[in-house]
Amino acid sequence: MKTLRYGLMVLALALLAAGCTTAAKPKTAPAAAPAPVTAATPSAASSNAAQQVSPLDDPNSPLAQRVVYFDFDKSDIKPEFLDTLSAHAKYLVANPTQKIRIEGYTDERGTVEYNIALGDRRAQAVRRYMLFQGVKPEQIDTVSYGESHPADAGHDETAWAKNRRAVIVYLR
Amino acid sequence: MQANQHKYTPWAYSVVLHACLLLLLVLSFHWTSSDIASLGGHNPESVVKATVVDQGLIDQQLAMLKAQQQKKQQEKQQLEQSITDLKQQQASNQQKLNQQLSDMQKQAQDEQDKLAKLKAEDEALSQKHKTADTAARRRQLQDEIASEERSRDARLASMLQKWEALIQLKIHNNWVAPPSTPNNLSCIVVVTQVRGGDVTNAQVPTCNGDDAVVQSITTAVYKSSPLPPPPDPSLFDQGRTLRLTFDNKGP
Amino acid sequence: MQRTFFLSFLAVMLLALPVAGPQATLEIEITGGVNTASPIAIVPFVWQGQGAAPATDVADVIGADLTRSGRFKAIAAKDMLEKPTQASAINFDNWKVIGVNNLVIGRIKVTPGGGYTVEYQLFNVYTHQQLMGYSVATSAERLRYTAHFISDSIYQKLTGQRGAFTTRIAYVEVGRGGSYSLIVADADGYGAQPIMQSPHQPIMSPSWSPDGRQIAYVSFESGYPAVYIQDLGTGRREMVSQRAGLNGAPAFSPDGKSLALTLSSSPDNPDVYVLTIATKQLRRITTSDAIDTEPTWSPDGQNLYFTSDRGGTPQIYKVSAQGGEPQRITYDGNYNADSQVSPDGKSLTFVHREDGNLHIAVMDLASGTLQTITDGELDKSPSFAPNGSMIIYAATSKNQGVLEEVSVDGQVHERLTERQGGVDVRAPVWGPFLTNGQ
Repeated sequence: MKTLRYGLMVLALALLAAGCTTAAKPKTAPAAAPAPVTAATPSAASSNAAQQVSPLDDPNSPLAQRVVYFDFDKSDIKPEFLDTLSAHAKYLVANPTQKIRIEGYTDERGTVEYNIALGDRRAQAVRRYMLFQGVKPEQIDTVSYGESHPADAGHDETAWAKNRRAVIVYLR
Repeated sequence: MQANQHKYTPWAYSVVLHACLLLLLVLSFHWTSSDIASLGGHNPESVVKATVVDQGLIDQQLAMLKAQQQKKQQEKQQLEQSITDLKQQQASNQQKLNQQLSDMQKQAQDEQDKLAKLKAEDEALSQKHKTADTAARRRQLQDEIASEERSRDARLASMLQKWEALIQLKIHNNWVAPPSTPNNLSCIVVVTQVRGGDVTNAQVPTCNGDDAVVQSITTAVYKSSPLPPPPDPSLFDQGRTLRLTFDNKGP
Repeated sequence: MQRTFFLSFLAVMLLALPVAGPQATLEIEITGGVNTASPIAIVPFVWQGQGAAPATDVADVIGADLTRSGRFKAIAAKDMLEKPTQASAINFDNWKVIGVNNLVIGRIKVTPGGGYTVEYQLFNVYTHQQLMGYSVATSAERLRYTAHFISDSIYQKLTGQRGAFTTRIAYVEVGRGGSYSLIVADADGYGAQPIMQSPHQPIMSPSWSPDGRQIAYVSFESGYPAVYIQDLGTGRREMVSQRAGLNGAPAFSPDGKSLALTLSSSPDNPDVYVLTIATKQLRRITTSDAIDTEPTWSPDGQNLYFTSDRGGTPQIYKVSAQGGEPQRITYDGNYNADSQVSPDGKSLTFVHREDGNLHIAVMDLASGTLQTITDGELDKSPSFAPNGSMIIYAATSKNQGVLEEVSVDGQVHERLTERQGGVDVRAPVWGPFLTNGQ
């Protein structure tokens, strides 16, 4: 009886331990624990391979987020995108031969050429932030397409919100 | 149950258990801030990409759009209403004018009859033998006749004005001024008409507009033929010839 | 008795004489006319050749031209009580009765060499006068152009203004697959021809040279914007600017020797420049840190109007073409952009945003009064016809870009022919008067 109790206790502790460490490092073996459910991710088999995939191709990396969205008529970077941009900046600083192109866009609710200028302002805002984080100017190229190449060809606020953006394109 | 033999064993178990739990608790703290973004197990991509569609914002926008639409509807209705009002007003003005004219004509007839009667009486008296009474009466009659004639002249003058207004209105409504019309437009058209209103001639002695302007004013005149008749036929001779000045003053 | 007789005689004499010494004349003042389209009848022209009549219905083209201008209303053939083709056959009462002011009749003959001759006559229905009669030599291929030529002559005779029906327009067409084409067409949208095509990257902001032989435009074919000038006759083009940053909004000067355009004077600082085309020398015009773009010339070449948000939001400013202190022009609302000056220099048309919708507005430069002349949601890219009577612009209909022409007072609107589905058109710009049938 005593052994059983010991055993149960050790088992309980072990399970608890496993659960906690899983919560601490979601990048490895996320599917193994019944503890806090993580968003659907590739199978646990990839966990060991994580180190060999470039962060640029890793869908879990913050670098996978390449688009920054803006408010109507605005070009200031919203706080929720700062971390993503910082992650990109950090990567670029660490890889000084890597170049990017920042593409600026707008929705259609303005004149064509003014929208080119507004798209440029958005691309430049992202560029300035990167430079401030230490990225070298020769690593960043910018272009503005204004209202051309919309992400969503619709004519409502949902579509427009998706079109007011700056996109980071890694040049290989 | 076997507690009598091992008095402190439950204590030991308890301590060990608590120590382990404490250890685990400590281990499970996340000390580095870099992982804060992934706390809660969310994929960073889904946090950023999830465009929060603010229902409140959408409702607001919809409400705004609806308000705009309503406003436009209202404006349109108001315009239509004011057009209807204007037309009604025009129609009622026309009616009033016609009523005035027929009143005037009736009045004219009455006055004419009265004047004829007075003159007949005067005439009759003049044939009779002159007495003090007849002289006095004749003087009185002549005063009345003069006063009647004065009011008749006033009435005719007012009718003449009405006739001018009728002609002006018809020609104005038929005149489409071309874009080359100068702001200081001043053109004269001399129009000849016959009884019944048919225009027999229209000459343009002077005009500071180009050919298109001259065309437009002669067209306006001919398009208005036959011109409206005078309220009192006796007036016609005063308007056999019309001297029209086309200009751009006013609204 | 004698006195009575004498009085009666006098009365009769007085009545028989004219009322005043010289003929009595009524003086009447007519101030201003009515602002309606003048009704006109263009009787179908009779085909006097052998075989099938030409595909182009000349009377139809003329009627559509005149009606589109907003100054006339061509009546439908079905409402005509007679269809004369010779002056002697005209019964003017048939036209007075339907209220038509002017009448046009015509004949198309075949000449021995195989060409056509178009004869036409214009009448005033009320004076019965023939206002003009001409005979035009043409060909089957040029018949539509000839119809536009006749529209011009009728328009000029009746309005005193030069007609713009033989002019051309340029615009950008976006195909379903995301391809872009720069198109040149007649002012009524017919006869569209692509002059430049780009499979994936945008073309934008076309601008006509004053002689109508060249078009400047922006192309992103290299992935970055560059300004080109293309010759319409040869199809050859020259890249005139591909600097770092923006290269956009080209605008030919009235003398054709310069191009105003937008360049980045430094990153995030678009400014207006003037480029001398022959020497490629640049003159910087604006110096603010704000967005300065969309330059357009006054017809005398002395001033530039442009869009700037130096005041916080986009407004129109005016500056000397030599540079200097810009003067703000628009104050109504918080978004006024993409302006064009009228050919007489007295008005400005531009995009005016109200309640989130983009409309086309016209402003009288002397008084500053602004009139909105369209009521769409995304109306952009206004451009004056060279006679100043109409404006072409881009609108959105059923989720697609379309081109509209509107009379300058906003009274008459017409959508240009829509092509098959999947074609999105935008950025229209009206070409100049052409000389000698280019």
